[in-house]
Amino acid sequence: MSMGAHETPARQDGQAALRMTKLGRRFGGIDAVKDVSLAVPKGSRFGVIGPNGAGKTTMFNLLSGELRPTSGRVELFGRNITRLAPNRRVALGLGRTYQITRVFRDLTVLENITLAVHGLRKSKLSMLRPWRSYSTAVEEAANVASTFGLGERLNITAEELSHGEVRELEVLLTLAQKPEVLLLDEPAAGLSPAERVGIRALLRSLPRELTLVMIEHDMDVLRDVVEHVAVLHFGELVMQGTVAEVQEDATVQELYLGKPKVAES
Amino acid sequence: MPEFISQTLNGLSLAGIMFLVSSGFTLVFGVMRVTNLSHGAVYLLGGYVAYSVIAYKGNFFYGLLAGTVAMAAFGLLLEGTLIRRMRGRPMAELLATLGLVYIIDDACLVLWGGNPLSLRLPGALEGSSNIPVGQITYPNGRLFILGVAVVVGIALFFLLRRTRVGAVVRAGVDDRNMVSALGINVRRVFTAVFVLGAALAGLGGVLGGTIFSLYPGGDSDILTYALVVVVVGGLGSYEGAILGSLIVGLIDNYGQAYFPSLAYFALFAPLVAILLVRPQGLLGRAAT
Amino acid sequence: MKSPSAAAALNQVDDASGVIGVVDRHRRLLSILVGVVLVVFAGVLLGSGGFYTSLVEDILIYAIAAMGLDFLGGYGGLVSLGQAGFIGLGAYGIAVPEAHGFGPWTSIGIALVVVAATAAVTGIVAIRVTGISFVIITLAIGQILWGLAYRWVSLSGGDNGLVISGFPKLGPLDLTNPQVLAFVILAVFVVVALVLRTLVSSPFGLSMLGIRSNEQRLRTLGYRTGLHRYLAYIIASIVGGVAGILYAFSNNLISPTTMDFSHNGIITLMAVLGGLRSLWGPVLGALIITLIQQELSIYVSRWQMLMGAVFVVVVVFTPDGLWGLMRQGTAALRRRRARAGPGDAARPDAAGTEAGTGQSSATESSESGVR
Repeated sequence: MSMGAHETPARQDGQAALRMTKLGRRFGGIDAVKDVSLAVPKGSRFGVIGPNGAGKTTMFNLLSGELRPTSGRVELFGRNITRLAPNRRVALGLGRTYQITRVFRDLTVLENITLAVHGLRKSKLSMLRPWRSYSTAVEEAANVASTFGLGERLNITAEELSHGEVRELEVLLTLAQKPEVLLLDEPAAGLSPAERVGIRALLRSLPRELTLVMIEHDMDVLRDVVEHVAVLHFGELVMQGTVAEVQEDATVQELYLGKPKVAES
Repeated sequence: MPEFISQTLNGLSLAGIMFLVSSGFTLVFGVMRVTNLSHGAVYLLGGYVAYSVIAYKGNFFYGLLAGTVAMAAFGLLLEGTLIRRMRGRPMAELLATLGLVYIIDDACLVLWGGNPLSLRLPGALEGSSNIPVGQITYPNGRLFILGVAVVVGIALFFLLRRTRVGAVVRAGVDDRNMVSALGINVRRVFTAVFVLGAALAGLGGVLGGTIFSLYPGGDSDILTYALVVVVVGGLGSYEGAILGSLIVGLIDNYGQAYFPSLAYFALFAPLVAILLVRPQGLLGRAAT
Repeated sequence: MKSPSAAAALNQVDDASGVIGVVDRHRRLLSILVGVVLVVFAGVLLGSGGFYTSLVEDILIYAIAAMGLDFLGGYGGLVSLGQAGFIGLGAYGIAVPEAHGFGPWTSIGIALVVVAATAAVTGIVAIRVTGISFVIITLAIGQILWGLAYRWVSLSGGDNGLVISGFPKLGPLDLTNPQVLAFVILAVFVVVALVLRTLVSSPFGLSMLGIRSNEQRLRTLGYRTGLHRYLAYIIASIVGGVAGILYAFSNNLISPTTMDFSHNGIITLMAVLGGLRSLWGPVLGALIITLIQQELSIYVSRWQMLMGAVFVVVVVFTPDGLWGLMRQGTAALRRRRARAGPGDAARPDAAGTEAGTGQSSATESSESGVR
């Protein structure tokens, strides 16, 4: 995959792709995210786990810009993006998906992905030719779909897709923008084991150079995709390590005790 | 100074009518998410019904009662037939009530003709009173309108803030799922609110008919006022309807009195200002 | 580059058979054909002179305005109740300069500038909100424009309105000749229809569909959706203004009534009745409502009531309007055929039948315009 779709900030080797420093967000008197410091090296793959209400999605919202932090900072390839608008972050190569899927339900898969492809180009405002005649964009969209599994479903509206396919489409919308850092918010949530097959295949086939941060409860999916895991609890980062380390950690086991949700399905 | 006081009173009585019409509109929107574009037509119909009853009975208060009750009944009919069929399709509801405007207007044209009709106030209300402040004499009819608006305003405030029913209505505005979760019959609340809204519009029509007269097209004039009021005050907010009515009523009246050539802009100036600074209205909640 | 499966899907392989299959394969050709036949038919009526000329002119003019409204409402989900205001603005844009001694060509230029500038200014306010609030704001804007025409007597002639006396002339194109005027209106209609057709299928048009479907998500994909809505509002308003300019030359008179609440509503009714999200819909709606207004009113005095009732029934029972109803009908027929056809049982229903219809789904998705 080429990486030329967006402005690339100057970077040095070995630098963190994404760095949070003492990141915090208060709602009323409650710290949803508190003093989280985490560096995600370029090309690495991080899982974020934690019980419900641990602040995982809030952290993602702070990273993607949908929420402003009340303290701390966020850097993308060394550039301070703490106060940048969400669409500017997208242009800088930061993509995210949503736990509650937000695809364009009444548009076809091809239309969905084509919208995403045009999103970072000036052509999104072009009015003079049919969008189907922008062959590079349409082919790019079709390619994204066929590479990651929805190639046969291009002309089907999103509402006719299965649950699992909608999840895949959600990820494809973001992938079509060729992000360098991808935030995945529970891509397999709510899916039956059978429905997970497609999305797991998709996650395994993600390009190696992509930096990935993924919220996920399912340990099988996590083991498939990530090397490192960060554990959030009550908004704070309680530990990070490899998948094996985290799984064996006593604190983590205590956090999850009696929570069948993490149990492998 | 006396001139200014009497203009202020004019503005307040205008605000009173705007309040009666817009509070019904905003409550229906707030609780049911229904944008009732026929609200102005209901206002007009209420006024016309009162006109006929007054002509027949010779008593203004019979007309007042008839206009209000008839519109409550009309609201009941409308909610039970059209609105209930379309629940959950806000844009379709809006458009259906737009179609309704043409039906009601045409019916009014058949029944009451195209000439403007005025509602005559009964004896005591027809005269004027001396007002101690600023030594002015002021028409009783307008004071009556102001009084009714204040009484209705306070009654509704207590209904919304101090009673269980009101709590349900407000919960409906704030959190629709919670109302259902409380095990309250949402359907009945919807019907009641819609009927209340229609009754208020009818009452507004009767009172408005005493100062504006009733004429084809009068419904779209009042609807425009009501829409400006609710957008300024905040769509769905009861307190917003009060505040919006006061702002729009006073500005509109001062505008007509002191800057007649700019009056029409004066009405929309607060609208534009609010939309630019606070699109959700003064007391409205930001859209989620 | 392109994988074979993607290429196949893009090429819309379609093996449906029978009449419907033929219709599917030649959909594009067919719609061009229908368009040409309609234009020729309109042309014949226009050429006949007299009553039918002015009737067809009115239909075409309102169809233009309603198409503009459909672009904003059907494709962008922003239903406007102020379109008649821009018809009036375009018409006054001709009448006022002419009353001040400007020539017809200059007046057309002034009218277009005034319409565009008014749209640019009111648009700043209108695009602050979406959905129901947008309807209300456009209604208020329409009422402001009406109020101006009604009360700014020194400029607009107030209630009496203004007469349009100067008609543009360019070589053989002499608009004082009613026949020529009629064909110019038809030509403008065709041009506007083609322009809007291009617009709705362009990437910008696709972005409007995206806004209607899920504006928040579109924003996270890097779109400044406010800008898109703003441009769409201006385009729709200019289309309304163009209809107004034609209205001025066709009717020779512009008065505030043309842009009152009732007329604002009627144009919205036209677009919705015919069916949003297809440019044929508003044309159909303009045809039906103008016919009710002008033809039926000869026989039925209560045409307004009839129009309101027809509209309420359509909105309640067919959210996609009459055009949508027709489309659903053919789609149902096609599905029945596909099911009945031999060998179809093995094929997954969706993959087979949808491939054929998929091509035009940007403009003809089954999802409704009015929810």
